[in-house]
Amino acid sequence: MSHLTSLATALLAGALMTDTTHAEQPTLGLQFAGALEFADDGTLFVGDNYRGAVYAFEIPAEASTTEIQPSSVLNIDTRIAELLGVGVGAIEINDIATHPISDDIYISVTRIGNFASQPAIVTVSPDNRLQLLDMSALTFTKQELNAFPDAQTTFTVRGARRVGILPRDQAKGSVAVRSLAIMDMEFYDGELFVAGVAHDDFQSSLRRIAYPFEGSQSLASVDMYHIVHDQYESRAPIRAMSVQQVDGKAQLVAAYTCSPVVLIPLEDIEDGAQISASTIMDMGNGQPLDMVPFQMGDEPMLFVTNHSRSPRVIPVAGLSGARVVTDEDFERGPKLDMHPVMPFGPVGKHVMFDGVSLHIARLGDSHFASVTRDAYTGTLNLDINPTFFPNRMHNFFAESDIPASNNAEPRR
Amino acid sequence: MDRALCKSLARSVATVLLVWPMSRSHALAEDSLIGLPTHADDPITLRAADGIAAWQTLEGDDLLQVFVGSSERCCEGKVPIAGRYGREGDALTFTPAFPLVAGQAYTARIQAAGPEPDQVTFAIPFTTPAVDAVVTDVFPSGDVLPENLLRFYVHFSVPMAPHAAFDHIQLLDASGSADQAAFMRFKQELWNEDRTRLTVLFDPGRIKREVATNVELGPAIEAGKPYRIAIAGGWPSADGRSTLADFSKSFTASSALRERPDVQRWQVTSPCRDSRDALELVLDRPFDRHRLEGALRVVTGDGHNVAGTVQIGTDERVWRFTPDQAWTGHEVRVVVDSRLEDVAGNNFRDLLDQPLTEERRDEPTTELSVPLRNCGEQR
Repeated sequence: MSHLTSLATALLAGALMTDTTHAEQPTLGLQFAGALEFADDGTLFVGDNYRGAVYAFEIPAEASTTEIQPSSVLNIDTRIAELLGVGVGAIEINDIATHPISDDIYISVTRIGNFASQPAIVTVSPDNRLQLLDMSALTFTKQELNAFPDAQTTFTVRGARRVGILPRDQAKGSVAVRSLAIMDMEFYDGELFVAGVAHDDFQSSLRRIAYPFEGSQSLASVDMYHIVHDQYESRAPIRAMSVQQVDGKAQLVAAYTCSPVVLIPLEDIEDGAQISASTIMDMGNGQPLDMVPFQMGDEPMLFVTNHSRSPRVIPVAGLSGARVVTDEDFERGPKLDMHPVMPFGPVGKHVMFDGVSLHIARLGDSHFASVTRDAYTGTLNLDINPTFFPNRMHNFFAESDIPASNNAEPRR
Repeated sequence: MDRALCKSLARSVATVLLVWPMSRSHALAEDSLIGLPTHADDPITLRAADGIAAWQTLEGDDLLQVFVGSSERCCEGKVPIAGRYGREGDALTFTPAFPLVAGQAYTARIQAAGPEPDQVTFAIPFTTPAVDAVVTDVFPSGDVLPENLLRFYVHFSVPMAPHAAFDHIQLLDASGSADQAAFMRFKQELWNEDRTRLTVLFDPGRIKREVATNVELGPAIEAGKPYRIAIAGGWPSADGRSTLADFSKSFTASSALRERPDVQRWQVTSPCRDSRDALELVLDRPFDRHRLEGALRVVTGDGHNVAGTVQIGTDERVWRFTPDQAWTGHEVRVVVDSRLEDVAGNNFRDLLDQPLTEERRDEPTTELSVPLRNCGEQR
């Protein structure tokens, strides 16, 4: 949807909101602001992994008049903590998304204070001002998740192979598996697709929810062949995904931890379906974080970040006709990064990225907004950079950074 | 904003702030211009001084902003706390979007037109209810204890004030009279790191036979007689918010433990192979509660430690180990740290009270083989 039509829709939504100001607004009840996703008209979907619900907020906006420029909000975590009235250690950033009309960056946050956690969404405007989103003043609807995992089941404590469980590994054992109930959300053609963990034995799930919410959802389970682990997996959820046209139809391109990429035709996602996803590649060990579509020239690409390695740029064109693999295509046994078959499939290329992008979203057509951990200082910064080279230059000291002497000519 | 007005406002605010220094910010609050919160949900209020007619024309954040941190590090370059401004009569209120956090320093900046804004730092006091100070456990926990008992561990629900222990802790006999010389009184009390566990040592001079105090005063406890360790209430907790309730533990003294512990006399309940049943040992005597927890390892045939959870059972005579994974193989071994002490301070190598004449003993046995049962048929 173009920004112009979006604006018209937004204005309409704004008018509607004015009309319903006096209507009975249900209690918000949001307990956790996790995964974020915008529809083109400015509807913001927020995943609540504590409550087991997806919220939709109408956020009409005026089109931004500011041209997007590379910039940084340094120490974004400190600044958010200041805004929320706590020390920097008391907030956690859960996701970011960009408003398709206003170009504001939305950041979902958990704030800890007085022994309680509270959700917050903070916005950063194109002129880098931070504001707290007053969710209680917005029109919203919500969809509860069925088969939401119980609060008692926690992660298995494990150590690395041949090392065993160390004290530092123990804390994971007190984290509820339901924290993965909503990993990523994609809004496509009037429907919200939600990846995460559901509570039955077949835990990796995909939900399909029409918007405006009608109170119903389709819940399908997903399994796939994991090349690195050499096994079929049905528990670990999809971490990041994007809807793309592949082999002539709309398909979810979905990345898992350690790090297979699979295809799932949207038409297969039906209530009660047991989907065997098509494994087409494996990016190598690590945990994918975000999958952001962008254009490189005329070519559609996916920018896939990972907390354990550099981002990959995967050409969407390479997904069509990709070979689908099963356990019969490989020798038995787990495969680490140095195994000859790794990485496998049309994985594109690793690209340079200074520091680690913990959350990334596309801002406008040609920029990324990234919450980036600086490689040297460890600070957390909100960086806006062009998609063709999403880096700051402050940590590089190459030939061009050193002034040329007037006398010295290069020997060659 | 009218400059004369601003100056007047700044002067009024500054006067009040200068009269009461930072440390007395609550006194300041009582009086007039700035009202500081004492609870997490309270607003911060700023009251117009007399004669400032144009107060209403100023924006809330022109007048008042609140920041995280103390005034020394405030406020340029910082983001003010999000919240809502309101007016009530001549008062401007600022209600933070989230409750203020107890113990966190905040700075209210009163932004007038003077060269420097005025600042006042405040914090919300903790309002969590005090946890009552009580004795939660005393070890050894049995009610029959050997007359050469070396130590008690006293556990408290909260960290306790130091240097008060022996004003409160006494050993009483059947008639209720206290033995003032029963326990060692060190200059430095024997606390754990967070001061919730006190080690109370009997005076070894009373335990060791034919040592001066033993000869002079006799043993502190004698086999067959009843005693109480009594902890008198009123002992304050470390934070001063609670005082200890009275506590006492009765026990009867039994004959002294004068032999080294012997793993051969431990009773073993073998777990079933392929199960996660507990391996349980009934020990030949009560052991030191805290050393017992980590002093025993379960090892597989090929020498790897088995991961699992340890529980200490009745009277510190039961040791129960539940493996993380099901048992495999035919046999495991329990390996005991030879420094593990019983409640009388005897370990597997030495007795606390070793007669000089006695010859050096053999290397102790500190391993126990435990066959894993095949219960496949019954299960």
